[in-house]
Amino acid sequence: MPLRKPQRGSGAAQASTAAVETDGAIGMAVDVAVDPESTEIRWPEDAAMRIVSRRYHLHFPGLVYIATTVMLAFGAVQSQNNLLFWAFGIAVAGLLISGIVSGSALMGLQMARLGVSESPVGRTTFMRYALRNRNRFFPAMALNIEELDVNSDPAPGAKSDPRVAPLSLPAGACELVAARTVVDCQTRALAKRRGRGSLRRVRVWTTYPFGLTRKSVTFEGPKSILVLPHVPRLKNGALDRILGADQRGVLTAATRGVSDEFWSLREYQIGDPTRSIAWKASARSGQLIVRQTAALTPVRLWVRIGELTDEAFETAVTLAAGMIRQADELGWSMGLWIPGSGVLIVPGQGQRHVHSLMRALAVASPRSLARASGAGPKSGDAVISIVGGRVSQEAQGGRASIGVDDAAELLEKGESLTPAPAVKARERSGLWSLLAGREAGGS
Amino acid sequence: MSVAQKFQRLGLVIVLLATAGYALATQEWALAMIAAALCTAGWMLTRGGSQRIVPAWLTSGLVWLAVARGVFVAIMGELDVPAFCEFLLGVIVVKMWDKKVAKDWSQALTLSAFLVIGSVLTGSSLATGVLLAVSVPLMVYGVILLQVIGAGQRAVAIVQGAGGEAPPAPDWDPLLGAQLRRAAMWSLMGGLCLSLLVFVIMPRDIGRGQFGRWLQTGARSISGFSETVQLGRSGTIFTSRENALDMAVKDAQGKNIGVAGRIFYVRGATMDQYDNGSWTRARQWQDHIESAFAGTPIAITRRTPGSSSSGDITQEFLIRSAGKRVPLFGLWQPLSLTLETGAEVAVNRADLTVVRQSGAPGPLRYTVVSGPGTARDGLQRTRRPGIDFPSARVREVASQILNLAAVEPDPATRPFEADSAAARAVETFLRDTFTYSLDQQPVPPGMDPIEWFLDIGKRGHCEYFASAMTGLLRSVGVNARMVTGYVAADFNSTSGHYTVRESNAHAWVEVEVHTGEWRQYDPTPPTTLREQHQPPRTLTSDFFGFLDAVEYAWVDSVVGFDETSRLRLFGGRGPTLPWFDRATTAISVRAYRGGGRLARDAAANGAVAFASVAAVGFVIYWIVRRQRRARRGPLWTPAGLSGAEQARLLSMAGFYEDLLRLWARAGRPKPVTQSPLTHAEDLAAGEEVENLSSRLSALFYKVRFGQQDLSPQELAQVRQDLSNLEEALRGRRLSGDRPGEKSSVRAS
Repeated sequence: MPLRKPQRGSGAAQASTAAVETDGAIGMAVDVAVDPESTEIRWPEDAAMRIVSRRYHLHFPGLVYIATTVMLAFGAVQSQNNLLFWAFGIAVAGLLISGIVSGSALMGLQMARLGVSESPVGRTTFMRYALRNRNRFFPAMALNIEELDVNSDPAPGAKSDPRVAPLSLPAGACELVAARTVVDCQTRALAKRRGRGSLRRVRVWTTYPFGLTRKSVTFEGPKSILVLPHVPRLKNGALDRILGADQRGVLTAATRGVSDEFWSLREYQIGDPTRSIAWKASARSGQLIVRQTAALTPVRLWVRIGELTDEAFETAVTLAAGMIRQADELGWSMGLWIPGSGVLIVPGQGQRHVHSLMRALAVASPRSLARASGAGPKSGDAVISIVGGRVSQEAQGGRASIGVDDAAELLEKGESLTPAPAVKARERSGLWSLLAGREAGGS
Repeated sequence: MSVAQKFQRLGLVIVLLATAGYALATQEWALAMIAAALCTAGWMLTRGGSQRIVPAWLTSGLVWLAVARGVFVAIMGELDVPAFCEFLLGVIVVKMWDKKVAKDWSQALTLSAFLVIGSVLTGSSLATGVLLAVSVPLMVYGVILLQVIGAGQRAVAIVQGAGGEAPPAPDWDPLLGAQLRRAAMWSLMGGLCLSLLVFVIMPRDIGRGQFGRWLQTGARSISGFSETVQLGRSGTIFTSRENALDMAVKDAQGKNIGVAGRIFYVRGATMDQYDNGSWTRARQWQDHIESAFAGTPIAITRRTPGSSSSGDITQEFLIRSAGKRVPLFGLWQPLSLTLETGAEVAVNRADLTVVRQSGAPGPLRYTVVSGPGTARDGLQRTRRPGIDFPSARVREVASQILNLAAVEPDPATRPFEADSAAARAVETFLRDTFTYSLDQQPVPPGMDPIEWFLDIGKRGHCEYFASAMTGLLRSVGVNARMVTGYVAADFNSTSGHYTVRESNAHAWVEVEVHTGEWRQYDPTPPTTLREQHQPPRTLTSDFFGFLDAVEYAWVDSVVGFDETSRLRLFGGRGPTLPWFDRATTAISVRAYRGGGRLARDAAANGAVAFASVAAVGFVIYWIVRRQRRARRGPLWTPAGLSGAEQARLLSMAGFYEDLLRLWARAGRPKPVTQSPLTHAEDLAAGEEVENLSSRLSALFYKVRFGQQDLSPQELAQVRQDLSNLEEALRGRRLSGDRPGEKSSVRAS
């Protein structure tokens, strides 16, 4: 298959990076290697989805068109007006061409899943696909892409229940898949609740070229998804206040490095900055002595979620996510310990580590048969335990507790433990909706 | 620039074109200009997209008002196509002030399309056709573009509706533009070909007027010409440049004898009865209603004995917009008339006029052959007791004129041969003494207009001149009648036709100079006549002449395309079959009679026809399938077995053909040189497909090579495996095709 060029999906050109850059989108799990620098999309044969049905749907505009065509025929016969005969011919031609072009356009269409982004609750999740048009002549245009099943159960084929689905139904569009090309396109959905889930069927439909009929192809290709917990922004210094500024852990001079902490003295060597010369010590010893500083070991923070009820556990997970976010911004090492869920991740740093913590929070449940294994907090590590109710006792020795009922007080102004929708639902106007049929936003 | 923004201008152009079409068709220019201005203003203020500047309740209210007005007009029985167009225009204006997402634009485009259709129904001029030709490509492109915009906006609506972050509006991409233009162009080409095909093959003259007066528009009665003349009206006569008819004039050899500067008098009606300023026709009782068949000449008068046909003049007429009843014009003196479409005509062989009594509104084509003939009006020529004029003053003036010309005014003593001299004397008198004017002074109440013209006014238009001459002659016993028609003076050298406009309407006089021999006289001053009717030669006259020729071609070939043209296109027979003609005629007759069972019968016949076609199709499919199988022969020939056992084994191994078919459909037909099991293992189509294929191949081996029957469980397994394999391969094209390898449905 000749592999050509670029995609024309809605904003999909930057899809591989856009998901990461979008606020709140933690990362994109890409199953198929896609070079973001390349303009060519390789058709991922192994990820090709199976076609389960092709259908024609007669919709409202098509019915209006057919009624108009019949009226034109009656009008032409009644009046014998030749321009009306011609108009009738144009109407009939429109129907025929619509049937031929639209059927041909979707006939050679193939689809493969490229990946799904892992986004936190309240943010937009991206699903990426490769669309291949094997047709030699007909381009596929104006394609609507819709996921049909979003299941909370990660098992493929599980029944869909929108009430507990982790995502809203993903939808997207692709303007053009030219003949014999492969393009990259995407759908978007709102991440609604944390946890695992799965996608199964995707419907690609179009009203191209004239909007008279809706043609659809349904593809099947199971795909698991993961929605990360909501990550609220905490007040500045919230972690310091919980731990106590002087109690948050010990700054250990473990190695030589750059800081204000003294580590040792040594003789001056050529190349040492003059600012590091310890003049008093040099005066005492009679030779130039320089002062060396210690490298700081970052605070090692453990976030621990205790035994909680379901509702409180959700709050705790959200609060933990917020703490991880602030700790990451402060450059601390973070670890996660949820004894009830069998989660124990030792402190670390970096985006990858943060992502693993978020993934662990995404799938954590208050009661799990799994038990955590490995070493917990060491001496000198800071530990914040999230427990039920309110907590009045102060932090001691780097150990602190915070109650889920106190969580709201830690949030920055405007933040909440449950995310607000990004956009309000569109308004509907009365008469035009009536005239246009029931499809909101339909053309 | 986004795709949606790219569409905005196109949308406005389409709406404005539809508005212009409305103006062209209905001549409601003021209304159309106001609507266009409002549309443009609304477009400029709302092109931002999803925001509305006018509250929804207001736009909805205005639309409901327009609907209510439409309903009211319909109840009052005045809802015709122009009124419906007016309603559409109103809704479009309101819509242009609404927000502009794809849905709104699709509504505006739909309304515009309806408006264009309404305009086409209202007027069939070339300008309307040009507008249609321009609008259709733009609409096609716009509709395709709208699908692209709609897809994106629908995704935005779904994602935003769920509270998600909408994708950005797609930018305009040259690649997308090129593909859209290509799609629009091919759609247009295909659409044009198909529409022309439909246009040509659709039978005409079937079902005309079956729904009463609905849509019976598109025809405009000819103005400027009148079958009655009313004198005495004051005011200025405004001339219209609207086309009345086109005429080609040929001699007996078929040579076009039209030339610039040559004038023809095209007569339409005669009047010989005068009463207080009003001329009417007294010879209606002599009209004969006849059926004129398409292409069959109707004899109007006899050729003068001894005259040859070499002096005949053939005129081909095209009335662009004829009403149901229309006078059939012709040059003096008409011998025969041939209609291209059959109709009922009233032929008066006394004054040699023909009127089409009924027929389809719209373009009308016919041919008249004129030449020397003899008219018989049934009057005895001993003396003319019926020839008189009810005005002593007119008789007195006539006597004075004839006396001056030394012609005996008393009809009792004047010989017939002197009638022509009397006519010439009166013609000369009027031409020399009176002034032509379109600005008419009022005639005092109680005074006869002809007397006023002769004694006081001394100036008037052609009807006064012709009336005066007719009155003067009739008052002295000369048989004269007034004729109305057109002066054909504007010869279009491009099309070879005379373009006759409403402003070319004229009145003149016919006088019986010998028994049965009539001669034409025109008392209007000839210089004035030429100034009035012959177009001045200007810089733009050639250009407008070319436009006239194009419009003539348009009306002749498109608007005037009728059943005769259709049959002529197909070599005189037409593409229809006799049984089809009979059937459509029968349907037409039954519909005309209001047969209530027509719809039921049609539905029943349609169902029976569908069932018959389906049954025949199934039988053909079954036969073809059997033949294919027979041609392929058995999968193999089991050796050493009786015929019954062979048949049993072959039947049992039939599933192998299904297996081969599934492989072939998935793009991996089994090569002839490869065994089924090896091929199954080489499929590289996933574990499931390979396992199923291998298992089925093994079972086939058991039957073929082991010559063993399959157990019921194995047969069930075969069915299950085939079903699973079909499901697993559905919609898949297995990679690794080997070009050049022949597929095989034979066992290897």
